[in-house]
Amino acid sequence: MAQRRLTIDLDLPGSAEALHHALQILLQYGLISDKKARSIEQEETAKKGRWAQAAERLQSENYLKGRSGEVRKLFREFREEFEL
Amino acid sequence: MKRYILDANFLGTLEDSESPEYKEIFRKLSSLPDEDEVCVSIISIYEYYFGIFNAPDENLSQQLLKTKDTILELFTILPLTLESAELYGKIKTAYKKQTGATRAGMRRHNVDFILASTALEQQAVIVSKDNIFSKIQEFEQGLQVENWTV
Repeated sequence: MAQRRLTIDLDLPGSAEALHHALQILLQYGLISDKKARSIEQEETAKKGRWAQAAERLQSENYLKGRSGEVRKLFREFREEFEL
Repeated sequence: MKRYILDANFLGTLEDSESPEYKEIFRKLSSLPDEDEVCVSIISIYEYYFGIFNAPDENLSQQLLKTKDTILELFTILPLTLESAELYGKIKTAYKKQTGATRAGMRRHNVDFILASTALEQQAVIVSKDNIFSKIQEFEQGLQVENWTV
């Protein structure tokens, strides 16, 4: 089957997660190779500063998942009882 | 080059994308230039360990343990020093005189006084939304504070 080359500019949110999802969709429909998807993700990560990468790591881990209010309560308890 | 000290409450929010303040904090952290340094006081690590052992369930304890490990990898941990001890004594006494706070009120702010003294010693900016730091600024003009939730 003849192949047609199409270039699209996408306006994605700034997160690595959004880019990852967009690439997954393209992969799913066979519109991009695995190798190409990986190289795009690597290039985009390398372009970002270290704090943007740190923020993205925190976002992807998301360890506290809606429980930061409870954590603040624990910290408050520590502070109310803490004496030197 | 700027140096920041994140208050423990901000750290908690960074690992919880469902928090209403998350987006703004994420945006601020992402926009920092590479040469800036983001730090955490050792006292905040004490707070994390208290949370890990005192969490109401094992799940939260494990979540906090993982969060603490990430913090240790990403940020610089600042120790308590002799210089900051002197500043702590000075700030705490000035605050007591200025506000007439009760003993319980003073005790509640011990961690804040430690953070403020570390920030002054390191010439760092405290990232917090607690207004205790604005009160300290009234007599310690050198203290720099930013609230990344606005």
